[in-house]
Formats: sequence, structure tokens, C-alpha cells
Amino acid sequence: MLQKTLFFILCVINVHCFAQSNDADSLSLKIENTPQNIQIDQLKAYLGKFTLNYENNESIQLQEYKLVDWKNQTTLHLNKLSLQNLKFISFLVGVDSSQTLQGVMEGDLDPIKGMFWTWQTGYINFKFDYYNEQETKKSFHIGGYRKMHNSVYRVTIDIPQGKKLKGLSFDVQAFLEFVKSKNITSIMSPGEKAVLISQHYNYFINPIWNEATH
Amino acid sequence: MKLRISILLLILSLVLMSLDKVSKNTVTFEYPKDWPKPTYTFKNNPLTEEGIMLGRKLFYDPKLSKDGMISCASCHLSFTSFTHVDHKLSHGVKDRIGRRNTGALINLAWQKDFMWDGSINHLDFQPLAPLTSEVEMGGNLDNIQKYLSSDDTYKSLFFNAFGDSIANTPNMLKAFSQFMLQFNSFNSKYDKVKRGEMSFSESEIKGYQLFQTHCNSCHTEPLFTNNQFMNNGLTVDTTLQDMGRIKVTGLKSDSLKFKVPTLRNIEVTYPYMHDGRFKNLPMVLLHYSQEKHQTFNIAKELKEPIVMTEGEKRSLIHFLKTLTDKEFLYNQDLSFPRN
Repeated sequence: MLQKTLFFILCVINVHCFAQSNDADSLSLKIENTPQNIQIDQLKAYLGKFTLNYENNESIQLQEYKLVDWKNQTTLHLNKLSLQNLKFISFLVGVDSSQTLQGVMEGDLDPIKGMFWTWQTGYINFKFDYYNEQETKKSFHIGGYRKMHNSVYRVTIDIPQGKKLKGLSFDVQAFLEFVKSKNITSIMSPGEKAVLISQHYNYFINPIWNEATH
Repeated sequence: MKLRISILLLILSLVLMSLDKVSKNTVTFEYPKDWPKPTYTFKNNPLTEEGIMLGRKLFYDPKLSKDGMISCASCHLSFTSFTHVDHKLSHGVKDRIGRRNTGALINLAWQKDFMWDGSINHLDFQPLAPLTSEVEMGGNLDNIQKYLSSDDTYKSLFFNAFGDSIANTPNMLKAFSQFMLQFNSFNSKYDKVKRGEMSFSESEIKGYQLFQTHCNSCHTEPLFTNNQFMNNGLTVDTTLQDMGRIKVTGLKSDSLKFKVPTLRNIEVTYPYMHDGRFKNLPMVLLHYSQEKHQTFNIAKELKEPIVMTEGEKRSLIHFLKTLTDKEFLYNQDLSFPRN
């Protein structure tokens, strides 16, 4: 027990010494255009395997996944990678099959986070639950990684010259209009509907811009 | 100065971590030399005596279930190759009945897909399904974690196994895997014959030849499964309406396909098939020797009935019984932990 306590204290001190806040790698998270008649319960997604391509053609890939909670989280940190002078950034929405084949993981990929289907292996890549006017819960759980039902999708954001990516917003109205146009009322398992939504993440997940500071 | 202190602290942390690792007793995964390499990701979950011990306690603990009555071992009995002998379908919390026959748990380090339809793709994730299924253990991961983290015995077992007394879900699942990876069967009469330690009877030799002619392409040696999904010509059960692997992949070609189970310890894993429809081996052989439910994707080996005399069937069954591994079935290290 003493060993563990000592280790914990040392880790905390170390983390404090090293992990100074680094705003250069942070993306703000924002929910936009929420209709007044709905109450958002959960709005989460796995964003992972980020690729950052810089103006000097340098490219950096992150292998890990981050569980992003738009409702309760304000910032997403990208392991101290600079977001200055980017040409484009891309990331997976969802956890791909190669990751699940590695077995259980700790941290954001811990199945206890509620983003894992226990009855058919696979992470819930994106989860949006809300209550409508009648206080009925509506659920859109997008998952599935197998060939026919692969809903792991890479979103790419091109960075226009003179702009800096400041954050990622989720446009609730756009999402609701999209699912309505496709007659999708809820999703709880892998399938065609999930794949369709996953192919349109860039309709709902939008960049937030800042003027670049060179 | 700050950097120096940090480096010093980091070194101290690493020393403590290494001390922690030294205290664990690593276990080497052993298997017959001529077997294929196991597919389990040992690098992410190295075996230790402490991890296996924890997994064993978890496997036999009914308190993980919603009503405290059902453990993994309720349906996976060690002396019947970890299946639920004599049950077509198993019963979970509140006597709820499941939809499929309990699978035997054998040589799991070589399995890539779990469940009859392969809906689970890694051994680590497998326990999550029965733990949380309403018709099996009906548990809840948050409650399980709270229970394990508040129990002194578990606190100590988790600490010994993973250096952390807080029972998180990943470590629980790793411990489950470590114990289940001990369910290895390669000491049957068949194995001993292959090693030159025993010899087959005349009838078993005949049965082995028949097996090689009629069964080996799917129930491939030495694991006695090709780890594929096949349609073996069973009619659809009108109550269960189980269409098999198509539900997982969405591919029409996977309709009515189920995992080819291993034949190791087949003598004690009755009843047979994904819904337990056949009570005994003669009934299984009767199915294969008569006209089957013909669908577009029936296994090519089974399009025509397999013609065998009654004597040949008896010999084949004699051979199948040589796959019974009593050292495995009565291995005290795998049974209920009494200490």
C-alpha cells in the first residue's frame, strides 16, 4: 500500500511539473443551434488517429483515441501538438477494428465509459441522446466496424490560409434535419442507417476558426 | 533545477514501477510444438500467477450477477469442458432462458471470434456479454466495479495482479482472459497417440480414417475447428428464428451460418448445435448422414448425405471419444477455488 501511495504521489508531482497547460494544442468544443424544444442528454464521440499536416508538408499521426463529450467538456487537447500553420487536419470518428483486436484498453477506451456494445464487440463511435417536447428519449448510437456496417469515418478539415483551427462545434439542428430527411428516428445497432449518418459527420461537426497568429 | 527534480522523480517512479513488476510471477503460455501460434494478444496482457488467480475468483463469483446467484461457472462447468451439459439453452438471472446453447470453452488463445455468430472479436471483451445480458447475469459494469473495489479480498487480488487495488473494468477483463487462457486441452487419448504415448483401438483407427474423410475439412486438426462459420444444413428453429452470422455481418451469404465448434471433449458437451437440438452423438451423425435443409450457401461438403453404415458410425464415435481430455476436465487448478 505504501509503495502504491508513494508511486501515486510521485506521479502527481511529475504530471504537475511536466504538464503545464498548453493552449497551442487545444481545440474548444461547442454545441450549436440546439432547438429550444429539446433537452440534450448525451453528445459524445470517439475522435482518433488524428493526422496533422503542416504548411511545411510535415505530417504527424496520433495513434490514440479520445472520447469527446461535447456536453461536459470544453476542450480537447492534442498531446501538445501545435495547431499553428496547419494545412489540414483529419481524424476518425469512431474506433476502428484494428484497435478492438488489441483487446481491452484503459482510459478513454475503457468499456465502462458507456460507449461500448457488450453484445456485439465494438465501440459506439458517436452517441447523441436527447429528450423531445414529450420528454421521450431519442437515441442515435452510431457504431459498427465490419465491412458492410463500417461506420468509422475519417473527417478532414482543410485549413484556409490565414486561419487557425480553434475548435470543433456540433450543429444539433443540422443533425436533426439530416436524420429527419432520411426518416431515421433512432439507431441502436450497426447497420445501413448508422453507415449513412457516419458518412455525413462533416455536415454536423464543423470547424471553429480563429485568425492565425504567426 | 525543476527539470532535475522532475528527472529524479521520474527515475524514482520507474524504480517503483519495476519493483511492482518484479513482485509478479510471470507464467509462460505453453502448447504443443506442432500447433499453430496462438492468436491472443499476450503482449497486451502478459500472464501472471496473480492475474490467473484473480480471474479464477471472478469466474466463480455469483456476486457479479444482478441477483447474486449466477456466476460464469453456472453455465460453464469445468468438468464438462466449461459448457452447460444437458441444457439445450441455459438459464440466467430470474430463470430467464437464453437463445443459444452454451459453448464449450477450450483452447481460447486460438479463437478469433467468440459466440456462435462471432459477434465478439476478442477474448477480453467476451465476458462483457454474459455479465450484462438480461438473460444471463444481468449485471451492470458500474455496480460490478463498486463491488470489486469495496471487497478486501478483491482489493488485494487486484493489487497483486495489476499493482492497483482499485478494480477497474479493463483489469477485471484482463484477469478473466488470463484465467480462461488456462482452459487448454491437449492431453486426450488422441494427443497421446499422436505423441506416441498410446495407441488407438482397431475401431478408433477406423473412426479416425472416417473422420479424416468426412469431418476434417471443417473440424480441422489439431484444434478440431477451422474457426470458420458454416451452414451445416439445419432447419431454422421456428421459435428462436436464429439466422446466425448474418446478424453480425449483414451479408446474405452468412445467413444460417454458425461457428464450427471444436470437437475436443465432444463426449461431454452435449447437447449439440447452436440451439442444442441434438441430444447425443448418434443424432448428430444421423443429421449428417441424411438429406439436409438445402439452402444456397450450405457447406459444399454437406450438399450430399454422408453415407456411413451403423458400424462406421460407431467407429467414428469411438474416435470422437478419444478427444476427451480428463486431465483438462478434472484439472483442480481450473475448478472452484476453495482457498
